[in-house]
Amino acid sequence: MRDRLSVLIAALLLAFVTAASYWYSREMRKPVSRTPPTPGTPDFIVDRVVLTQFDDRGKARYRLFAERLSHFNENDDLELQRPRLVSLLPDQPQVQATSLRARVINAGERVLMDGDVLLQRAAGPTQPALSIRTARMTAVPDEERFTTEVPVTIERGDARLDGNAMEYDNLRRVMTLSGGLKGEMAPAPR
Amino acid sequence: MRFSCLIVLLALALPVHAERADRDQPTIIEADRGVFDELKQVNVVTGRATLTKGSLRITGERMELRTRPDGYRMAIVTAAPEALATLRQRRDATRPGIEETIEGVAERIEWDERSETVRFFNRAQWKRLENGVVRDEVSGSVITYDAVASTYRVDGGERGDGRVRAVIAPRSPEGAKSEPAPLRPATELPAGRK
Repeated sequence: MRDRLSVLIAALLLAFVTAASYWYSREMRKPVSRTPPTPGTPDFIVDRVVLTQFDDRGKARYRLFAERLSHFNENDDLELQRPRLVSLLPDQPQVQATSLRARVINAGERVLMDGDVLLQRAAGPTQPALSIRTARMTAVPDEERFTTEVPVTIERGDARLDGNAMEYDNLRRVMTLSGGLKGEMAPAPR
Repeated sequence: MRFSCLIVLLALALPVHAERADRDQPTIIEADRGVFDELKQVNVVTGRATLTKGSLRITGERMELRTRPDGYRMAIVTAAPEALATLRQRRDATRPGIEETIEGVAERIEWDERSETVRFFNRAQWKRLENGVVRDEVSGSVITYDAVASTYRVDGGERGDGRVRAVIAPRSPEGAKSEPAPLRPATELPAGRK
């Protein structure tokens, strides 16, 4: 009878130890609980930020300046206040893009620029300077494509173009204007 | 054998020119759509396209614009099917009280800013008007109008009846007989002239 009791106590103790260690390991594996950020609010903010993108050999390609950069955890988007993007490619005319606000979505696949959008390209050896002004513009940086569905003003050398929608392909260097356009070219110099 | 009639005419014995002030005017393009190719240096606008430069006005459905290395422009204007491209320009006044204009239509119009020539291709018609009254009228397959030399050349071409038709008003000293324009003081300098 005593033997049976001691076996029972040992079995109970073993069961308790097993249950306790199981509970403990469960507790240990639980993620540290953290208050998740409310959707729509940034999880981090950086003021007066300068970001530089380098190529494979460590040479700077683009530099981005912004008064404020906000990151959103739920979709990894970036929101920029007064962004200015400058190209540093030595063999190409410098390109600069500025706007009041910009939202970088889908891991940089698309950039939605909003308010006083200005895209400028410096004069090169074969082409004059180019500037594109509009209120809103969508950029696809990898494809170097820029589109806008609102009125746009383009200045290229001494020519000026006004359109109601634009698509610009900087790789093919082809610009398409639609919805009515007006172009003005200065008289030929003589 | 190429059957074509060819006439080269001095448009007028008087020294008339396309409006000189037009030269210093900007070129204005209007259209529904446009494709501007920077690498090929070709710009094409389509949809009710117009080109204006001072008193010069060209209309058509499609315009191909090029800029020469020296900065001068060229335009090839084509009409919509069944329609005709048009050109209209005022000429420098040589006789007081008479406003001269030229008007031309064709399926295709080629304008060259540097040489100041205009070529009209297919179903081409060209008119010279004085105060809105047609004085000279020619039609043919190809008409070349040289604004500097004030000449036009008409080619009947191989299409149609291959004939050139020209109606040229007699050069009576009508201008001299008509009432001279009253003198009045100039209140402002004409733009673009010195």
